[in-house]
Amino acid sequence: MRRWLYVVLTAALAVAVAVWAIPHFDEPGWFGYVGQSVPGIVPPLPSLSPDLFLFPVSAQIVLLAVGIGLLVQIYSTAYLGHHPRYRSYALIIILFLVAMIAVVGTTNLWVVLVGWEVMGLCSYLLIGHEWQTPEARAGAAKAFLITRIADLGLVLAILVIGETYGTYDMIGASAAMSDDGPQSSTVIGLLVLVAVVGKSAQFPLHTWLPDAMPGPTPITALIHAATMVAAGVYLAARLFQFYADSAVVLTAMAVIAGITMLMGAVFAFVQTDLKRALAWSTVSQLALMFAAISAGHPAAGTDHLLAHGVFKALLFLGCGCLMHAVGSSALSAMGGLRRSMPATFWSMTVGFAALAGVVPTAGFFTKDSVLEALLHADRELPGGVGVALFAVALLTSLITAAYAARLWILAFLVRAPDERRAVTHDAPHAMTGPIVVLAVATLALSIGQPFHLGIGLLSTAIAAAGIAAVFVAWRNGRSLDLDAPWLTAELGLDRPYARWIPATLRSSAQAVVDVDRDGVDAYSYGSAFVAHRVSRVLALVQSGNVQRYATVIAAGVIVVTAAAVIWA
Amino acid sequence: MNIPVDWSVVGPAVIVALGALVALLVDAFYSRRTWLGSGLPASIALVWAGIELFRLHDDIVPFTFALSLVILVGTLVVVVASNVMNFENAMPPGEYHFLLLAAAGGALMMVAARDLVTLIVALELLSLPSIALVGLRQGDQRAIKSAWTFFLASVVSTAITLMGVSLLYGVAGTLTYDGLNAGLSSTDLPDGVVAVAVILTIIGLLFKLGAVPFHVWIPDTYTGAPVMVAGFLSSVSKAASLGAVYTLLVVALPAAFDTWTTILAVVAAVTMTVGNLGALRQTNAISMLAWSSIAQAGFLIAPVAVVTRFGPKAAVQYLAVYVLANLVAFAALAVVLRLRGSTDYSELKGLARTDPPTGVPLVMAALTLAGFPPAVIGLVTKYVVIRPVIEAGETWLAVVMAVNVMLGLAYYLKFVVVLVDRPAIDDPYRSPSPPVSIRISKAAVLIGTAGLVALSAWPDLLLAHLP
Amino acid sequence: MIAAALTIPFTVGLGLLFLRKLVSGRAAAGLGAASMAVSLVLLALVWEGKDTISGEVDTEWIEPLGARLHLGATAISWPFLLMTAFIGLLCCVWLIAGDTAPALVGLVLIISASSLGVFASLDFLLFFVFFELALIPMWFVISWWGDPHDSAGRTRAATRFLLFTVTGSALLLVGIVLVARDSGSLQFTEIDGGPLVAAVLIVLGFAVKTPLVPLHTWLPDAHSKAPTVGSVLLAAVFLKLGTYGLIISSGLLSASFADVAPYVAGAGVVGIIWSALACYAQDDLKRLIAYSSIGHMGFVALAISTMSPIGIAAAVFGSVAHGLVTGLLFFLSGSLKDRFGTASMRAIGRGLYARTPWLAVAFVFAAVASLGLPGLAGFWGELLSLRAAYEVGVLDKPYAWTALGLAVLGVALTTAYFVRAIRLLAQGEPVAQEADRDLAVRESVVSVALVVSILVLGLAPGLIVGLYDSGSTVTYEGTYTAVTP
Repeated sequence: MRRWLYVVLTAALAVAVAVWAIPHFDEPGWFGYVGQSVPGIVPPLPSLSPDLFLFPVSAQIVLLAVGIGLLVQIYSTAYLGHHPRYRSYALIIILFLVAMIAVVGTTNLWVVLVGWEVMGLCSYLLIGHEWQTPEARAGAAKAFLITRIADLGLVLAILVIGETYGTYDMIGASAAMSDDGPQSSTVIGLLVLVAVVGKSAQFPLHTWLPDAMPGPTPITALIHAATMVAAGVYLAARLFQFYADSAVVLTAMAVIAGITMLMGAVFAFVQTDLKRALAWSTVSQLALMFAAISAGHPAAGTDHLLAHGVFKALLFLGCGCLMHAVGSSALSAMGGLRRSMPATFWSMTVGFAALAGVVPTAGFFTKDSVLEALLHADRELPGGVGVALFAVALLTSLITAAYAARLWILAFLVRAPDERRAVTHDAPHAMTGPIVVLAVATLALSIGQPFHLGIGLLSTAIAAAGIAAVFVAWRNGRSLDLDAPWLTAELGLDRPYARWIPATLRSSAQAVVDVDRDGVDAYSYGSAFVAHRVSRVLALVQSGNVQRYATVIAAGVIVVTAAAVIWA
Repeated sequence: MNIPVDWSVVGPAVIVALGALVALLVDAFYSRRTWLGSGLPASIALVWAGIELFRLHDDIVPFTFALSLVILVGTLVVVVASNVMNFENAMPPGEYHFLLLAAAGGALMMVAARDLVTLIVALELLSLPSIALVGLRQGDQRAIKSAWTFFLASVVSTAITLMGVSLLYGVAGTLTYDGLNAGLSSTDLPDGVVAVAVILTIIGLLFKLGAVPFHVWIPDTYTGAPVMVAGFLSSVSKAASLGAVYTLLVVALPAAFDTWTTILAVVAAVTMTVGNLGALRQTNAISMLAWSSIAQAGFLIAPVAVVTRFGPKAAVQYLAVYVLANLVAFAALAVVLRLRGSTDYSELKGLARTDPPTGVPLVMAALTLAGFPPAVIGLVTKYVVIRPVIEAGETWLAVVMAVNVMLGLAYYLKFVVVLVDRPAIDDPYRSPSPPVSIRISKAAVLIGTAGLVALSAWPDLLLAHLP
Repeated sequence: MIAAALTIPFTVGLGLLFLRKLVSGRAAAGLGAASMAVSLVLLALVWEGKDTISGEVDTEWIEPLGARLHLGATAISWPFLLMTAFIGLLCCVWLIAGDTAPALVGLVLIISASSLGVFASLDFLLFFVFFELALIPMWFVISWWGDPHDSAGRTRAATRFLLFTVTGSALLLVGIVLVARDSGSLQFTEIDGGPLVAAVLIVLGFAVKTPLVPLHTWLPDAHSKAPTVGSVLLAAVFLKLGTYGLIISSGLLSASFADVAPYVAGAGVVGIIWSALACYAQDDLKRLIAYSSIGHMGFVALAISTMSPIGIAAAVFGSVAHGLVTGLLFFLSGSLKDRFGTASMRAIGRGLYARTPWLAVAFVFAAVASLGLPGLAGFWGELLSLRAAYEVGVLDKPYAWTALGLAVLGVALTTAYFVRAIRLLAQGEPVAQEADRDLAVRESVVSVALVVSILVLGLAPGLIVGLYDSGSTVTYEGTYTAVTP
């Protein structure tokens, strides 16, 4: 069983990371100022010295990454084990995990950048794992292009941080900051915002994530739900101190988060494909985390990141089990799977409950923390924005509960479609095992979470309302598919990326090629043409006719003499 | 009119003239009419003249010395390489060598001339034998037509020069260079007349150099003349004219500097451009070299037009390398013509592979003329010739020269590619043992090439020692 | 030692040219590889530190012109020297095949040795001689061993290449004369500024070679028609003659170069955008890579135009990285062209991941390196260029930052066209062709060597960047002086 080799490799990595990370859980301080590093006047030339360092939050996230990575590797042995390209698949996952460790576990911004973009590359390669299908190719290309363009924001942000603080070391930079107070915070913040908006698929760079779903489902769980897209949130939180005092940045982030969370939730509600619905749900949840950061509580954001990472990985892996059973991710192909797939059903029920924010899952507690943060958002954000953001977040919670309930009902409770012939049964243990583990983790992570009574009651009421509404509708026999074509078409927000930009690019590229050949090159062809034409004229003079020579000479004498007289 | 003549200084010219007579006489009394019969005395005379020249080294202006040396060496190469015409019944060797050495004597006189009468006499001494040489091949209609063209152009040019000379005499009242210098320095002379006089005088010499627009005779003459005669015209004759122009301008006419400097600069620019453009379409090696020699004349005039401390050195150094490369090329082509009957590119294809002793020198010569490594000396002399132009601040002219380097490469490269190309499969020419006379010519070619290679390896050989 | 590093490949090359009938192609290539390896080792050993001129040789050459045989490795030229020898070595390894013409190996050696000579020269005239020396051999490489299906086209491409370059270098020669007039010396160690005209001419000369837009039109033809080793040498080494020339002229003519710098920067960034768009519409893989070179050189030009220490570091790094990355790309596209007889992506067909897996993986690696993925060599050059532009240097701030913005846009477009190329070639439903063959041994050796070097430079940029501490200026006074802020 060669494929277990990669599991062993991943396990070794996970153990190593655990040994390294767990002692850091209890260290005091969040991303505060730790230690002493003396920045220079001019930033040094870039280097990739590892500068490993873990804060408690980093430790948790890195552990989440390798943990889910390990589960995904185990899961994949069954899910994808017989794929001819399993080797490259498994190796890229390991590379991805290393890159994730680089992003989270260092203080050197260049190492962060390298990890950040290598993650993007791995995402590209893995989305395109089934590269013979056009959807996978297109989705991979789109994901890579949009995230990489956004990554340029991070490159520039790092440059500005270096120029401002004289170092590319995060700790060193915060040391410099605490001396003089933050500078260039708006520029840094906006550039970081560009980077994380792309990576975390926030409006308006959100369209790549739903299109990334042709990738293998375990990859979606690992990269496009739990870790890479969440790394945007992590980075925004990590660099929060560099832009914390810029109202412009926070407001922009709040607006983006507000738009994205509502949009993601609505789109999730109208999907007919389970996997795509979960993708939109991820977009919406990530926006919730950004909302917390913009409200000045990055810790609430990263807490929700952890919980979301666990339960969304659970949901995607569960979705993989369903796909394994029915051979499609379309909701219409599912239904009635409750009895035939008990392990999947119960695990995913926990996952959907966490998504909807039902007590006592981890999702409930961390979402409440976010809402609590948003309640006090007006301290960081201009008055109206904070209040609006809180309202949008509540509305999003309502829709989230509703679509979670809808998906759960459509996948498990409704009657099985008539055309399904094969008898469905639960997935192999290598697949159900990881989701059970994750379900347990979803419940276990709620231990010790902060609890806010007022918000807790409010959000429970909202979640209950959302779930109840869907249930009532279902019980009354109404269709759960919303008939709103413009919503199922996702408001045409993808059109610029799918049509306009490629079309512009193609036509301008063709124009450039034409101009390059016929315009720019004209001077060389033109001069060659003139040279040959003159050469021919000169040859004409050379006719062997002596009279003609005499004429030329006489004319020459006159011209030269006249010129001499005029100049003299 | 009192023309002071220091016979010791014109010694080399006299020796060359004597050699010419001896060659004619030997040929007349030596019945077999081989080329060695008259060529040997001619060569001896040239070598002796060279020795004499070195003996007089300290009495002669370095510039004149260097040019005389170039003329003597050039003529010697022509004489040796002319052996290729041995047993060519249409060419009488005695007359050939007599005319050649007479013309060389005229060339030597021209660079030594310090007054206008000597200049005109020397010019005619160079021109008339040259015309005869061009048309010497018996029964060759084309040669006669070429000679006729050349003759007409020569006559016109001499006439124009004479007009200029008479005007100068009228203005300055003297014909010696020193006198002219003094005479023209006075300020109350009519500008226009001086300008016309100066320009007309120079024009005659520009004819000989082949400057545009007085170049029209060159392609016809070179292609019609025997190859080595064309070689002589393109090298020795140009050397003499260049020397005469420079001496005239700097010694006799510095007062009219403003008149001629711009004109000459423009003429140089136009000449090199026209020459290169004309050469672009040529597919015969001799025609190509004819046009290229026009272009090279432009490069020769440029440093003369702008008088700086580097000017004469640059012109002579450039000239020396040009003469050597050009003679190597013409001599090699003479061999090719003799063996294959044509110098069309189609005939030359793959020559460097099938017949390296003529093909490789042609490559080297072409690269030298183009100024391109591995012929480093060509590149270095391009540098040398641009330097005075820059020194004088005429950057525009330097840029024109730069563009012309590119233009030149376009056709020299074509030529080189023809030479090194894979040869046609059934190459008709396989000569196991060429006759001795051709071997002598080839030896001359190889020695010349060795010179180019040596100069490329140690440019100092030339640059540190020439003038 | 430097002299030996130049002479050995040069002599072997000449020998192979003249004795081409006596050796087999395989033996010739082996001999060539050995001589380039010796050269590489010698050049590596010659290094004495960044504060001095390493392995300096200084003897008389042309006394009347003040030109000397003055060779040495400086902090600027050393990376170029090593890269050139390395690429030359790989080209010879590549040629270890049955159907190699010994004369081609000879020309490759002569070209490599001449380029080494350019980088090693400390005398402007000597520099120029070497600069020209490589041109005619390259003409033959393109014209005789180029695209076997288009003999007229390859000759035309070769001639265009030569005439463009010679025009540039003739202007350069005038510039050199101007500089020599003003400084009274041809030695890099003594030249001290020059007139504006000289800077203009010299920059024009190098701009043709680099090439900067709009003087680039010779490049796509030449690169796409050349044989594999010719393309590699053109891209990896010849373009560097231009950038190296720009780097040293920015140091030698600092005052007047500063006046030209904005135009260099402008041409550079316009080139980035222009070439990226042109790449997006290419079907011929070699043309695509050729155009991408223009873009990469645009970054280098932008870096040089800031005339800051960071800019120099960026230019050197960018040049070396481009040599390795584009070298790999051209080797691999050469492999494809050898197999399929064309570099047209449509004709080669999709799904190379399945048809020739290792070739496809190597190609994707090279493409990803070329689009500037952090952690690979291609990134740091671009990054340092951006940083140099951000720090502005001698440019105006709005101007430099606009250039920065355009360069960033160019990075995005670069990603777009490489992703397109990967999509068209590596991915897709595979349709097997008869010519599908994975990498041969010699191809694997070359690819692995380049992949490793790209990774090493990408993960340890300090190997080159460390030669230039920030807060120092690079001059030719012993090449390098630290400045205390």
